[in-house]
Amino acid sequence: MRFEAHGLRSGYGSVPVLHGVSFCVAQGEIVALVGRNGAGKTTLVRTMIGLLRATGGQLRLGGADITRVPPSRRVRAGLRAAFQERSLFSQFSVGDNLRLSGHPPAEHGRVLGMFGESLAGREAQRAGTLSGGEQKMLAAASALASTASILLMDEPTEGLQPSNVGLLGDALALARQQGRGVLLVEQHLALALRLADRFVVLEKGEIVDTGTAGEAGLGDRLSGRLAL
Amino acid sequence: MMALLLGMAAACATSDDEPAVAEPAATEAEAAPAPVDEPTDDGDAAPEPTEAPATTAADEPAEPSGEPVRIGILFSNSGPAGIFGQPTANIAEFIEEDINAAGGINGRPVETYLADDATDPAVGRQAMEQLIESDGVDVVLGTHSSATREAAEPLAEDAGVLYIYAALYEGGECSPVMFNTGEVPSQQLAPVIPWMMDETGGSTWFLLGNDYVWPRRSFELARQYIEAAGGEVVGEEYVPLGTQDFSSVAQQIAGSGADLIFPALVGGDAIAFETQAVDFGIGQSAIPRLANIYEENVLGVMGPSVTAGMRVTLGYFKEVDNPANNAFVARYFEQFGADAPPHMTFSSHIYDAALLYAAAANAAGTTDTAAVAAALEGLSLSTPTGDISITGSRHLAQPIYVAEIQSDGSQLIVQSFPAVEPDETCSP
Amino acid sequence: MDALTLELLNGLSLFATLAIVALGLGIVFGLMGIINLAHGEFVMIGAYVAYVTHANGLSHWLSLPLAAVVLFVLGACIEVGLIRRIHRRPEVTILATFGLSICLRQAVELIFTKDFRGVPNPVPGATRALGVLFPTYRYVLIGIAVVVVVVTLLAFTRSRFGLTVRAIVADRDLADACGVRTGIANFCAFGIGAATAGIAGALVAPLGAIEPQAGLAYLPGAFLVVIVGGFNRLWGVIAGALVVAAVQTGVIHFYDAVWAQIASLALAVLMLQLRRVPVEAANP
Repeated sequence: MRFEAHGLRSGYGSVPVLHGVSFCVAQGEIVALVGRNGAGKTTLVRTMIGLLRATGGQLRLGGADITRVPPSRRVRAGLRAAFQERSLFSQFSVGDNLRLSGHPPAEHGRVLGMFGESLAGREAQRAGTLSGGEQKMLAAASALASTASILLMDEPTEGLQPSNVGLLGDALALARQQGRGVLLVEQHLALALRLADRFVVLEKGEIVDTGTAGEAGLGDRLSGRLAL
Repeated sequence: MMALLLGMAAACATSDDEPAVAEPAATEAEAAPAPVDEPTDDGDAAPEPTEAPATTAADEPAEPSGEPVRIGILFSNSGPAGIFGQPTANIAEFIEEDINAAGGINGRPVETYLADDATDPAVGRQAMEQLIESDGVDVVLGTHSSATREAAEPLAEDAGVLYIYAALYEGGECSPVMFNTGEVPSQQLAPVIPWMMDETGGSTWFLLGNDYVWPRRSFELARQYIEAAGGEVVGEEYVPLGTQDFSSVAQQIAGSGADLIFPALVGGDAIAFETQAVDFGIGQSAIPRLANIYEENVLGVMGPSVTAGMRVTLGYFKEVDNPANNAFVARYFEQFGADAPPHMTFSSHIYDAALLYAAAANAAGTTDTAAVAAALEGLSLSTPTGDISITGSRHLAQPIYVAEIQSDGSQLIVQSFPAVEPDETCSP
Repeated sequence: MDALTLELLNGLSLFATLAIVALGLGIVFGLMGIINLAHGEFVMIGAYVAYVTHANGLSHWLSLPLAAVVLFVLGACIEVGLIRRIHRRPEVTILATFGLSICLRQAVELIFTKDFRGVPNPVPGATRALGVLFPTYRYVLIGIAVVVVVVTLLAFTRSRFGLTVRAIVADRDLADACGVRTGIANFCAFGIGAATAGIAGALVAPLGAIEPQAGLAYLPGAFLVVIVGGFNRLWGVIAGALVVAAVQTGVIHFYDAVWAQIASLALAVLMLQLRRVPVEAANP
């Protein structure tokens, strides 16, 4: 299963944000998408999952054209996203959030146990009353525990304690090992540099640079791209 | 049969004491609508139309010919009042058939043009414009709301087109181009209210109406007649059009101690009130009704268990028992089917208005608005409705009938008041 | 005292009627963000189902489930054929459902003509309770309406389907991204909204006239309830119906029905000032 974007264009209303973005995420790899605030990273994720309509170009999943396919069918075809913001139904319980994500109650313990003790046993709590970091972990755990073969993780480490960032990194590495593909959207380079196999730099809605793990000077180059 | 009727009508038109038609036309039109000896063909159709009808008086009127006289009918065929539309559309056929069978108007055939106001004054104004501008009608007969009349009248007045408003209404209209031949509240109520109190022995009344001008005007007059007859109004309530819940009103009526109810409710409101009233213990059997608009469709939906015993006062019911009407109603159902929406007061008044117009135009020998208007004043006719005559106030003195609903739901005329004068004044 | 009891019962029956008539409008607006101007016609068609049931000599009570089924199917077809294609554009849905309401009225007129129709009261007369005589059918109406409203709302708030639908309300995008089939949920929500309108129509049929225009009279009241109750809260239908019934009954009691209508409109204006119509919230 391979996810491809070809000349993808998208935006909000009449305001274009993405101007022809092409890249791919294959199975068993982690692709880091980096870029400054406003570069179009979240727009890209939302267009990939189908919440924003592509105004041009093509999206393919496992070879099939999914450009016009509604989000729920993309999800059932093996795509999954954890959003940067509004990643949970805040007025619903943690358990209800997991049910909505397709995890039957019997699995809830396993999903919540993914980040050690932080979320364990908090099924009945209202998701909105979790801390920001806990909400991010719940969203990430829910996506990672799914059977999706391609994961879109939009800034999953934002607000996480360092120890939990470590746990998340391990979980992502495990997903790669299981043969899943991950698009990791990150503003902070440390985790991306540690995990990713390839790098894509987005700037003003266009891909301005790409790189592969191990390339000489990659860290400095990416830092430069992200610096104001 | 209709030819006879029309002949009678025309004869009445110029009869004795009312010298309404002052013009020389009066004498010429004496025998109108009278036939021409031979059908006028294209070539020698030269003789002026005013002369033709008066030449001979044979038994059978000749086939009318020439440029038709166009009769516009402005009515409600859709929207809330659209329910009354079909009988009027049916009767338009009779208008053509009957006037043409009697020789037409001044030897010319008549054609009817129907225009629907959709129970909406703005649409009504457009419909009037279409009748005048596109169809080029000589006269407009109207049966629709007062709101439409007020919106459409200026167009008729500007164009100088005669406009006979034939719907039952609140009264008070006065315009140089208008005649108003529908029942006005003074006619429906002045004789009937004292009669009702005599009949039932009741003296205290509850007045319940929809909130618009016609019920308000009706109640204003009803109050006078009730008090004049020694009765008392113990409650007067208005509900918005489209009211569905009458529980609170029902309770007020129950608490008022009224002997009689005068409901001036229209359509669905009437049905909702009466069906709900029974369960609140204030149905007809507990408090007798005198209604001034309940018509057959509405009464039929309420059903005899609700309606039996109600009295309704109107200028026409299809049950009016005279030979002309019996034949007319039989012909109506024969032509339009036994289950056709029945002929009723609105369609009857449109028919009468057309006959009045034909008689007046024949008497005037022209379709000129001023001449026909002059001929209409004081004009008397006998129609299936009974004897009718145009009053000096440009309204219609007409019979008023009281029907009582029977236990099988049928209507029986239990009282009739001939030639009831409207309490109106008008001198445009 | 008795007068007060009666007025309370009147208020209660008005509340029940308003609540069941507004329920479908509230569901469809609350869950789908669609202002369904054809809702009154759904109620009207429900009443015609009661008429047809009666005309075929069947029990009036049978017309309630029949109306629910007929209107569910009709509502579902309309969702698939019309709403689905435009539901993310609120201004278009208003126009479309307005057009739909005209089509439905005309269709009913073609089938049944403009004539008024009626169904007889299946339980005529009054029952003595609490020291007063009150129409039996109104007790039945109150009971059925309250049960239908409460059961429907419970289904939407307690079941898995309800969770799904509420998720769509709360955040359609997130629900989409969770793999929830928002299309099917919309289909069901619209169908169920129409079905409750059908039950409402059949339920009120014995109390008034059935005619193609009848739906127009139901729409303003239903809207008022939804406006007062709050747009995105399903249980708001109950609160809204309570407030509107209390205001109307109170004003009719102390003044008259015309003032009650004016008071209702004033209430609507006031509530609209207090609550902005969350069109964007409902349609991101």
